[in-house]
Amino acid sequence: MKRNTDHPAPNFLQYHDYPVSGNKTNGLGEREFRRAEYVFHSSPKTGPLAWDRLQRHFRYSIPLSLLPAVLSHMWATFRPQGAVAAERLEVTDRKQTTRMIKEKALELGAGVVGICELKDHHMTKAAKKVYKYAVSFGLPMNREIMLSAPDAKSSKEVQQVYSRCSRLTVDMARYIRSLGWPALGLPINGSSEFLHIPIAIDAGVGQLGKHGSLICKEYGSNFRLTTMLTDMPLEVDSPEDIGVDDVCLKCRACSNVCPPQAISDSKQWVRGIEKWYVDFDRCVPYFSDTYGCSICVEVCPWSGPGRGIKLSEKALARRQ
Amino acid sequence: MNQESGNLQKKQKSHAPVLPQKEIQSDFEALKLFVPQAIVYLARHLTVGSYIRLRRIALRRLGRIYYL
Repeated sequence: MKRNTDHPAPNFLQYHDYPVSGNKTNGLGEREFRRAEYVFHSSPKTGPLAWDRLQRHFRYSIPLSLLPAVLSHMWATFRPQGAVAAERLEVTDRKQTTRMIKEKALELGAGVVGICELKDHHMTKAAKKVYKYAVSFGLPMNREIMLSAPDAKSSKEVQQVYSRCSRLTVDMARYIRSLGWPALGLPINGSSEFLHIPIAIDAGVGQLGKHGSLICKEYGSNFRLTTMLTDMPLEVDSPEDIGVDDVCLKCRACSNVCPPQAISDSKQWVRGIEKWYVDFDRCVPYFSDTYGCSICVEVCPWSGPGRGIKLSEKALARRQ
Repeated sequence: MNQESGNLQKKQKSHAPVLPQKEIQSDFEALKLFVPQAIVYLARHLTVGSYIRLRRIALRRLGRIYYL
Protein backbone atom coordinates (compact mmCIF):
# COMPACT_ATOMS: atom_id res chain seq x y z
CA MET A 1 0.00 0.00 0.00
CA LYS A 2 1.23 3.48 -0.88
CA ARG A 3 1.59 6.23 1.68
CA ASN A 4 -1.09 8.92 1.69
CA THR A 5 0.44 12.16 0.39
CA ASP A 6 -2.78 14.14 0.13
CA HIS A 7 -2.57 16.01 3.44
CA PRO A 8 -5.05 18.67 4.59
CA ALA A 9 -3.63 22.20 4.41
CA PRO A 10 -2.06 23.60 7.59
CA ASN A 11 -3.31 26.69 9.44
CA PHE A 12 -7.00 25.85 8.91
CA LEU A 13 -7.56 25.57 12.65
CA GLN A 14 -6.42 28.62 14.60
CA TYR A 15 -7.02 30.48 17.82
CA HIS A 16 -8.43 34.03 17.72
CA ASP A 17 -6.74 34.81 21.01
CA TYR A 18 -3.75 32.46 21.20
CA PRO A 19 -3.39 30.91 24.68
CA VAL A 20 -0.05 30.74 26.45
CA SER A 21 2.64 29.13 24.28
CA GLY A 22 2.85 25.37 24.81
CA ASN A 23 6.58 25.65 24.09
CA LYS A 24 6.97 27.90 27.12
CA THR A 25 5.03 25.48 29.34
CA ASN A 26 7.19 22.64 27.99
CA GLY A 27 10.34 24.57 28.91
CA LEU A 28 11.78 25.19 25.44
CA GLY A 29 15.10 27.02 25.73
CA GLU A 30 15.45 26.32 29.47
CA ARG A 31 18.86 25.00 30.49
CA GLU A 32 17.92 24.15 34.07
CA PHE A 33 16.22 20.87 34.84
CA ARG A 34 12.64 20.97 36.07
CA ARG A 35 9.82 18.49 35.91
CA ALA A 36 7.29 18.64 33.07
CA GLU A 37 3.98 20.47 33.42
CA TYR A 38 0.64 19.65 31.86
CA VAL A 39 -0.14 21.54 28.69
CA PHE A 40 -2.76 19.57 26.74
CA HIS A 41 -5.26 16.79 27.63
CA SER A 42 -6.71 18.17 30.84
CA SER A 43 -8.03 15.88 33.56
CA PRO A 44 -9.66 16.48 36.95
CA LYS A 45 -6.16 16.38 38.39
CA THR A 46 -4.77 19.03 36.06
CA GLY A 47 -7.84 21.27 36.14
CA PRO A 48 -8.70 23.30 33.04
CA LEU A 49 -5.65 24.00 30.89
CA ALA A 50 -4.88 26.86 28.54
CA TRP A 51 -5.39 24.73 25.42
CA ASP A 52 -8.74 23.23 26.53
CA ARG A 53 -10.73 24.64 23.61
CA LEU A 54 -8.47 22.79 21.22
CA GLN A 55 -8.76 19.63 23.30
CA ARG A 56 -12.56 19.89 23.16
CA HIS A 57 -12.34 20.26 19.38
CA PHE A 58 -10.06 17.19 19.13
CA ARG A 59 -12.15 15.07 21.47
CA TYR A 60 -15.59 15.67 20.02
CA SER A 61 -14.95 16.33 16.34
CA ILE A 62 -13.77 12.83 15.43
CA PRO A 63 -15.92 11.06 12.83
CA LEU A 64 -18.92 9.02 14.01
CA SER A 65 -17.30 5.87 12.61
CA LEU A 66 -14.64 6.16 15.32
CA LEU A 67 -17.11 6.15 18.22
CA PRO A 68 -17.00 2.39 18.96
CA ALA A 69 -13.18 2.46 19.07
CA VAL A 70 -13.18 5.51 21.36
CA LEU A 71 -15.73 3.97 23.73
CA SER A 72 -13.87 0.67 23.78
CA HIS A 73 -10.68 2.54 24.64
CA MET A 74 -12.51 4.49 27.35
CA TRP A 75 -13.81 1.24 28.88
CA ALA A 76 -10.29 -0.21 28.88
CA THR A 77 -9.14 2.65 31.13
CA PHE A 78 -11.78 1.76 33.75
CA ARG A 79 -10.78 -1.85 34.36
CA PRO A 80 -10.06 -2.88 37.94
CA GLN A 81 -6.41 -3.38 38.81
CA GLY A 82 -7.13 -6.27 41.21
CA ALA A 83 -6.13 -6.89 44.81
CA VAL A 84 -2.56 -7.48 46.02
CA ALA A 85 -2.35 -11.14 47.04
CA ALA A 86 -1.67 -11.79 50.71
CA GLU A 87 0.99 -14.35 49.91
CA ARG A 88 4.06 -12.83 48.28
CA LEU A 89 6.33 -14.53 45.76
CA GLU A 90 9.82 -14.05 47.20
CA VAL A 91 12.28 -12.85 44.57
CA THR A 92 15.50 -14.81 44.99
CA ASP A 93 16.74 -14.56 41.41
CA ARG A 94 16.01 -11.16 39.87
CA LYS A 95 17.14 -12.24 36.43
CA GLN A 96 14.71 -15.12 36.34
CA THR A 97 11.82 -13.02 37.73
CA THR A 98 12.50 -10.30 35.17
CA ARG A 99 12.51 -12.86 32.38
CA MET A 100 9.20 -14.22 33.67
CA ILE A 101 7.62 -10.72 33.72
CA LYS A 102 8.88 -9.90 30.22
CA GLU A 103 7.64 -13.21 28.84
CA LYS A 104 4.23 -12.56 30.37
CA ALA A 105 4.11 -9.10 28.76
CA LEU A 106 5.01 -10.53 25.35
CA GLU A 107 2.35 -13.21 25.81
CA LEU A 108 -0.22 -10.49 26.56
CA GLY A 109 0.55 -8.63 23.35
CA ALA A 110 3.55 -6.38 23.98
CA GLY A 111 6.02 -6.08 21.12
CA VAL A 112 8.91 -4.68 23.16
CA VAL A 113 9.46 -4.50 26.94
CA GLY A 114 12.02 -2.64 29.04
CA ILE A 115 12.53 -1.91 32.73
CA CYS A 116 14.11 1.03 34.54
CA GLU A 117 14.14 2.62 37.96
CA LEU A 118 11.61 5.43 38.30
CA LYS A 119 13.45 8.78 38.34
CA ASP A 120 12.62 12.44 38.75
CA HIS A 121 12.60 13.26 35.04
CA HIS A 122 10.03 10.49 34.44
CA MET A 123 7.37 12.40 36.34
CA THR A 124 5.33 15.58 36.00
CA LYS A 125 5.49 18.28 38.64
CA ALA A 126 2.46 16.94 40.52
CA ALA A 127 3.49 13.27 40.60
CA LYS A 128 4.74 11.44 43.66
CA LYS A 129 7.29 8.67 43.54
CA VAL A 130 5.38 5.83 45.15
CA TYR A 131 6.86 2.94 43.15
CA LYS A 132 10.48 1.99 42.56
CA TYR A 133 10.42 0.51 39.06
CA ALA A 134 8.75 1.40 35.78
CA VAL A 135 8.10 -1.22 33.10
CA SER A 136 7.70 0.17 29.59
CA PHE A 137 5.72 -1.68 26.92
CA GLY A 138 5.61 -0.94 23.19
CA LEU A 139 2.71 -2.21 21.07
CA PRO A 140 3.01 -2.17 17.26
CA MET A 141 0.42 -0.60 14.99
CA ASN A 142 -0.74 -2.03 11.67
CA ARG A 143 1.68 -0.50 9.17
CA GLU A 144 -0.64 -0.95 6.17
CA ILE A 145 -3.44 0.98 7.87
CA MET A 146 -1.13 3.65 9.29
CA LEU A 147 0.26 4.47 5.85
CA SER A 148 -3.05 6.19 5.07
CA ALA A 149 -2.51 8.71 7.92
CA PRO A 150 -3.89 11.23 8.53
CA ASP A 151 -7.40 9.86 8.11
CA ALA A 152 -10.20 8.21 10.07
CA LYS A 153 -8.85 4.69 9.45
CA SER A 154 -5.42 5.42 10.91
CA SER A 155 -7.00 7.30 13.79
CA LYS A 156 -9.16 4.26 14.53
CA GLU A 157 -6.06 2.05 14.50
CA VAL A 158 -4.37 4.39 17.02
CA GLN A 159 -7.43 4.23 19.28
CA GLN A 160 -7.48 0.44 19.06
CA VAL A 161 -3.77 0.14 19.85
CA TYR A 162 -4.15 2.52 22.81
CA SER A 163 -7.06 0.39 23.98
CA ARG A 164 -4.77 -2.68 23.84
CA CYS A 165 -2.08 -0.66 25.67
CA SER A 166 -4.53 0.12 28.48
CA ARG A 167 -5.62 -3.52 28.75
CA LEU A 168 -2.01 -4.74 28.71
CA THR A 169 -0.77 -2.43 31.46
CA VAL A 170 -3.76 -3.22 33.72
CA ASP A 171 -3.43 -6.97 33.04
CA MET A 172 0.28 -6.84 33.86
CA ALA A 173 -0.45 -4.95 37.07
CA ARG A 174 -3.09 -7.58 37.94
CA TYR A 175 -0.56 -10.33 37.33
CA ILE A 176 2.11 -8.75 39.55
CA ARG A 177 -0.47 -8.04 42.24
CA SER A 178 -1.49 -11.69 42.13
CA LEU A 179 2.13 -12.48 43.00
CA GLY A 180 1.83 -10.33 46.13
CA TRP A 181 3.69 -7.21 44.92
CA PRO A 182 2.16 -3.74 44.55
CA ALA A 183 1.80 -2.58 40.94
CA LEU A 184 -0.11 0.08 39.09
CA GLY A 185 -1.08 -0.06 35.44
CA LEU A 186 -1.28 3.33 33.73
CA PRO A 187 -4.10 3.18 31.20
CA ILE A 188 -3.79 5.68 28.37
CA ASN A 189 -6.18 8.44 29.32
CA GLY A 190 -5.24 12.02 28.48
CA SER A 191 -2.23 13.28 30.40
CA SER A 192 -0.42 10.79 32.58
CA GLU A 193 1.56 11.83 35.66
CA PHE A 194 4.34 9.60 34.38
CA LEU A 195 6.05 10.34 31.07
CA HIS A 196 6.01 7.28 28.84
CA ILE A 197 8.81 8.39 26.46
CA PRO A 198 11.55 9.25 29.02
CA ILE A 199 10.72 6.00 30.84
CA ALA A 200 10.95 3.99 27.61
CA ILE A 201 14.30 5.58 26.73
CA ASP A 202 15.81 4.73 30.12
CA ALA A 203 14.30 1.25 29.90
CA GLY A 204 16.20 0.64 26.66
CA VAL A 205 13.10 0.36 24.48
CA GLY A 206 14.40 2.90 21.97
CA GLN A 207 15.71 6.41 21.34
CA LEU A 208 14.03 9.75 20.78
CA GLY A 209 13.72 10.65 17.10
CA LYS A 210 13.69 14.02 15.38
CA HIS A 211 9.89 13.85 15.18
CA GLY A 212 9.60 13.74 18.99
CA SER A 213 8.46 10.11 19.08
CA LEU A 214 10.38 7.08 20.20
CA ILE A 215 12.21 4.94 17.64
CA CYS A 216 12.95 1.29 18.31
CA LYS A 217 14.79 -1.23 16.15
CA GLU A 218 11.82 -3.58 15.85
CA TYR A 219 9.05 -1.17 14.75
CA GLY A 220 10.70 2.19 14.09
CA SER A 221 8.09 4.69 15.27
CA ASN A 222 5.14 2.59 14.22
CA PHE A 223 4.17 1.66 17.76
CA ARG A 224 2.58 3.12 20.90
CA LEU A 225 3.79 3.09 24.49
CA THR A 226 2.36 2.35 27.87
CA THR A 227 3.87 1.98 31.34
CA MET A 228 3.35 0.01 34.52
CA LEU A 229 4.81 0.86 37.92
CA THR A 230 5.78 -1.71 40.52
CA ASP A 231 7.85 -2.39 43.62
CA MET A 232 8.69 -5.95 42.62
CA PRO A 233 12.51 -6.23 42.56
CA LEU A 234 13.48 -6.47 38.91
CA GLU A 235 16.66 -6.29 36.88
CA VAL A 236 16.78 -2.95 35.08
CA ASP A 237 17.76 -2.45 31.44
CA SER A 238 20.12 0.31 30.26
CA PRO A 239 19.38 2.91 27.59
CA GLU A 240 20.46 1.57 24.22
CA ASP A 241 22.18 3.58 21.50
CA ILE A 242 20.86 2.20 18.20
CA GLY A 243 22.20 5.09 16.11
CA VAL A 244 19.02 7.17 15.87
CA ASP A 245 20.89 10.48 16.25
CA ASP A 246 23.31 9.57 13.45
CA VAL A 247 20.40 8.97 11.07
CA CYS A 248 18.16 11.85 12.26
CA LEU A 249 20.96 14.44 11.89
CA LYS A 250 21.16 13.70 8.15
CA CYS A 251 17.60 12.60 7.35
CA ARG A 252 14.87 15.17 6.66
CA ALA A 253 12.01 12.81 5.84
CA CYS A 254 9.76 14.04 8.66
CA SER A 255 10.81 17.69 8.81
CA ASN A 256 10.30 18.14 5.05
CA VAL A 257 6.86 16.58 4.98
CA CYS A 258 5.37 18.00 8.21
CA PRO A 259 2.53 20.26 6.95
CA PRO A 260 2.73 22.84 9.79
CA GLN A 261 6.59 22.69 9.74
CA ALA A 262 6.77 21.86 13.41
CA ILE A 263 9.86 19.64 13.26
CA SER A 264 13.26 21.22 13.74
CA ASP A 265 16.44 19.88 12.12
CA SER A 266 18.54 20.51 15.21
CA LYS A 267 18.31 19.54 18.86
CA GLN A 268 17.10 22.11 21.37
CA TRP A 269 17.35 22.70 25.10
CA VAL A 270 14.19 21.61 26.89
CA ARG A 271 14.06 21.72 30.71
CA GLY A 272 17.81 21.16 31.05
CA ILE A 273 18.20 18.45 28.41
CA GLU A 274 19.38 18.97 24.84
CA LYS A 275 17.07 16.87 22.68
CA TRP A 276 14.85 16.68 19.61
CA TYR A 277 11.79 18.83 20.12
CA VAL A 278 8.62 19.39 18.11
CA ASP A 279 7.10 22.89 18.12
CA PHE A 280 3.97 22.41 20.20
CA ASP A 281 2.17 25.55 19.00
CA ARG A 282 2.48 24.49 15.35
CA CYS A 283 1.99 20.73 15.77
CA VAL A 284 -1.03 20.47 18.07
CA PRO A 285 -3.59 22.51 16.07
CA TYR A 286 -2.81 20.39 12.99
CA PHE A 287 -2.76 17.22 15.10
CA SER A 288 -6.23 18.10 16.42
CA ASP A 289 -7.56 19.01 12.99
CA THR A 290 -6.49 15.67 11.49
CA TYR A 291 -7.62 13.34 14.32
CA GLY A 292 -4.05 12.62 15.43
CA CYS A 293 -1.95 13.30 12.29
CA SER A 294 0.87 10.64 12.56
CA ILE A 295 2.44 11.69 9.22
CA CYS A 296 5.91 12.08 10.75
CA VAL A 297 6.00 8.65 12.38
CA GLU A 298 4.94 6.94 9.16
CA VAL A 299 7.39 8.69 6.82
CA CYS A 300 10.21 7.90 9.22
CA PRO A 301 12.64 5.51 7.47
CA TRP A 302 12.91 3.48 10.69
CA SER A 303 9.18 2.62 10.51
CA GLY A 304 9.45 0.48 7.35
CA PRO A 305 9.07 -3.24 8.10
CA GLY A 306 12.51 -4.73 8.86
CA ARG A 307 14.30 -1.42 8.21
CA GLY A 308 15.16 -0.58 11.81
CA ILE A 309 17.70 -3.35 12.40
CA LYS A 310 19.50 -2.62 9.10
CA LEU A 311 19.54 1.15 9.69
CA SER A 312 20.90 0.64 13.18
CA GLU A 313 23.66 -1.70 11.97
CA LYS A 314 24.65 0.75 9.21
CA ALA A 315 24.65 3.79 11.50
CA LEU A 316 26.75 2.06 14.15
CA ALA A 317 29.17 0.63 11.55
CA ARG A 318 29.76 4.12 10.10
CA ARG A 319 31.06 5.32 13.47
CA GLN A 320 33.97 2.88 13.40
CA MET B 1 -4.02 6.70 44.85
CA ASN B 2 -4.71 10.14 46.17
CA GLN B 3 -7.94 10.94 47.99
CA GLU B 4 -7.45 14.70 47.84
CA SER B 5 -7.45 14.87 44.09
CA GLY B 6 -10.43 12.52 44.07
CA ASN B 7 -12.42 15.28 45.71
CA LEU B 8 -11.60 17.62 42.86
CA GLN B 9 -13.48 15.46 40.40
CA LYS B 10 -16.81 17.18 40.86
CA LYS B 11 -15.47 20.73 40.87
CA GLN B 12 -13.24 20.75 37.83
CA LYS B 13 -14.47 20.37 34.31
CA SER B 14 -12.63 18.01 32.05
CA HIS B 15 -13.12 16.76 28.54
CA ALA B 16 -11.25 13.56 29.28
CA PRO B 17 -12.90 10.57 30.98
CA VAL B 18 -12.79 11.07 34.74
CA LEU B 19 -10.82 8.17 36.13
CA PRO B 20 -11.36 7.55 39.82
CA GLN B 21 -8.38 8.40 41.99
CA LYS B 22 -8.89 5.33 44.14
CA GLU B 23 -8.44 1.97 42.52
CA ILE B 24 -11.50 0.29 41.05
CA GLN B 25 -12.21 -2.96 42.93
CA SER B 26 -14.67 -4.81 40.70
CA ASP B 27 -16.07 -4.94 37.18
CA PHE B 28 -19.43 -3.80 38.53
CA GLU B 29 -17.85 -0.71 40.11
CA ALA B 30 -16.03 -0.02 36.84
CA LEU B 31 -19.30 -0.27 34.93
CA LYS B 32 -21.04 2.09 37.37
CA LEU B 33 -18.34 4.70 36.72
CA PHE B 34 -18.06 4.09 33.01
CA VAL B 35 -21.71 4.16 31.90
CA PRO B 36 -22.57 7.75 33.01
CA GLN B 37 -19.37 9.04 31.42
CA ALA B 38 -19.95 7.16 28.21
CA ILE B 39 -23.45 8.71 28.03
CA VAL B 40 -22.04 12.21 28.63
CA TYR B 41 -19.39 11.62 26.00
CA LEU B 42 -21.93 10.36 23.45
CA ALA B 43 -24.21 13.33 24.13
CA ARG B 44 -21.35 15.80 23.70
CA HIS B 45 -20.09 14.01 20.62
CA LEU B 46 -23.52 14.26 19.02
CA THR B 47 -24.19 17.89 20.01
CA VAL B 48 -20.90 19.81 20.38
CA GLY B 49 -19.20 17.40 17.98
CA SER B 50 -21.87 17.73 15.26
CA TYR B 51 -21.65 21.52 15.49
CA ILE B 52 -17.85 21.37 15.13
CA ARG B 53 -17.99 18.88 12.25
CA LEU B 54 -20.60 20.86 10.29
CA ARG B 55 -18.82 24.15 10.89
CA ARG B 56 -15.56 22.60 9.79
CA ILE B 57 -17.03 21.25 6.55
CA ALA B 58 -18.66 24.61 5.76
CA LEU B 59 -15.52 26.66 6.47
CA ARG B 60 -13.29 24.31 4.51
CA ARG B 61 -15.59 24.55 1.49
CA LEU B 62 -15.60 28.33 1.75
CA GLY B 63 -11.81 28.29 2.02
CA ARG B 64 -11.89 30.11 5.34
CA ILE B 65 -10.06 29.58 8.63
CA TYR B 66 -11.68 27.79 11.58
CA TYR B 67 -11.13 30.05 14.60
CA LEU B 68 -11.51 28.43 18.01
